Amino acid sequence: MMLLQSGVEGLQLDPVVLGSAVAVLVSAYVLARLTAFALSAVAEQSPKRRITIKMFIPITAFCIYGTAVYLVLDPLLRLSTTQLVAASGLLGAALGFGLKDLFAGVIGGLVLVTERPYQVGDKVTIGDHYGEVTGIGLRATTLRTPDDTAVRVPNASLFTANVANANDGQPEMLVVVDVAVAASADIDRATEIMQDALVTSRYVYVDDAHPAVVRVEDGTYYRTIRGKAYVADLRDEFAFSSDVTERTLAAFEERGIDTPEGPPLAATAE
Amino acid sequence: MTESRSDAKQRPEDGVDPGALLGDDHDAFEAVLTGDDPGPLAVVGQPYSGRHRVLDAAAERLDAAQVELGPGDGIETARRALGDGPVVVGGCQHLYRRAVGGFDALELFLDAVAAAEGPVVTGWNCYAWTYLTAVRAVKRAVPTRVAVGPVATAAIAELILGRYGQMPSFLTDDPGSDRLVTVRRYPVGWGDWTVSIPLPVPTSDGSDPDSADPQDVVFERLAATAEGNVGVATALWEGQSGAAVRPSDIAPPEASSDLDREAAFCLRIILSKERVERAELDAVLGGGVDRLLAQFRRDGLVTVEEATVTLEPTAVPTVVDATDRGRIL
Repeated sequence: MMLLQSGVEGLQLDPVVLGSAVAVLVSAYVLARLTAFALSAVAEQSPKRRITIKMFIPITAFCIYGTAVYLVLDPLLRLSTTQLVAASGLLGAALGFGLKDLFAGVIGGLVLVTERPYQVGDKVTIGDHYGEVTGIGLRATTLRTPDDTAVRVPNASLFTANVANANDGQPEMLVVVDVAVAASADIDRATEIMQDALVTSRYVYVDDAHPAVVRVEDGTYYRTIRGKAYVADLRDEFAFSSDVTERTLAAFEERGIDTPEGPPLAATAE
Repeated sequence: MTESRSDAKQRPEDGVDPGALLGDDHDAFEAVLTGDDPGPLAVVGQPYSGRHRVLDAAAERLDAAQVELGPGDGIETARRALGDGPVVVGGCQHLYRRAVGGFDALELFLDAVAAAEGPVVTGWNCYAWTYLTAVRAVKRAVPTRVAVGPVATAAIAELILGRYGQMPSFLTDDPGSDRLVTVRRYPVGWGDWTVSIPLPVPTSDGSDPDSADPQDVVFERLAATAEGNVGVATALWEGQSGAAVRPSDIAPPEASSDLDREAAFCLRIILSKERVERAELDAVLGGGVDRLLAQFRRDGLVTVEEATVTLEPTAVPTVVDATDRGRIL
């Protein structure tokens, strides 16, 4: 049998072992993709538990890839003490020089799976990036921003950047809508209109635990009517915000509630 | 608006005992009628579930004035009925519109109910009630609530057998004489989460459908499909025209699979109103209603007559499922 000599004496790779390793890795990849696809399909059929089900996608992927790595390395790494020391030295050097970030990303991924600061489907802010978590990989998390851009954030960022989770694993999400009115406007009527616009939206979700509320904030030249309500599906965040704003402004105009005017042209020119 | 019990048209729930419709809530209903509970009372139920039968019984017992609100009826119609004596007001889901400023009539009505001297019994669509209790303080004005349905399989079978003289032949679904196994669905629950899992079972099993009385199997299927809703069960039964009926013949219409949020929202409004003016849908949805209604009509979910859209009784389970899946309030 043809033997392939590695750099470490005794660590011998024959074509059968190599073929098996490749087969295991390919199988693991296919299985992980199929599982992710199946779980996503099931999750979309159950909107209330969508995020809970999607949470199992990265966990399953970690389990599958972990098992695959074990199956691949087990027949290879039956090393003597000398070989183990040599391999450890090589691994340490590799981590120190080239794979440091990759290794940190993988550890970050493990922390993500165990601590779960966010899950697939959550709306999060990591550092300067805001969006929906569409995938949690071994090395990086993928966010889909409101501009439909996929941003891959290294899992290692978890150790250094602030992570804000807007819905914390729940399908519902609080959305804040601000509309300004003139200081002279009828605030009570404007508040009623905003309240109506919130609770009549097709996207809204209201119950005792998810109330819709309206607050008024006073400013020097105008007042801000701030509506807060939950959407049933966090993916409707911007559609809800737009729907409420549009109908609120239309009702303001219909009922003669003034919105703030822009600064005088002369002042703008200065 | 329809006044009093002059409507001679037979309703699906006619002949059903209000106690059977109300179940455990019958005691609360009796307490209001006897004056032990001052009310006001809300009778809440699915479309076609028998709410009118309960309201009729309340009006009879209280010797009350009775009003049934319809699409387009305003606050004046309701307020005229609210005098010093007992009053029963049905169709209260028509007092609001899901739009900015759409709750004004409802608020006036609730004020009038709170100020009424005599006993007040109100009837509400359960989906409208759920929505209104979430977004408006309806329970404060109407603190006592009783729910209509679901009705047991035996009561539905008794109603159908008693109402329709000529019965078709009852048959079981042919499982196929050459098949050794058949597929049954079994519910598996964990906490409040239940899924139905299809499992193969041998056809020679003692619990095989072949061994059950075909009539019982058909009525079990009818009650399960209608989810105990008397009006839905009756409509599904009336939809059978053949000389024989099998369990698989009992099926509600199916909604299009590509039901988007706008379509589901439109259906939810129709579900919570039962009958709604087309103009109201136009005002709430802001366009595209014609195409949606055409799609719903093709699917057998609604009927459209002139300016009014009516939910088909057989479509209630389908519409509930489609709109609940979208988590539309």
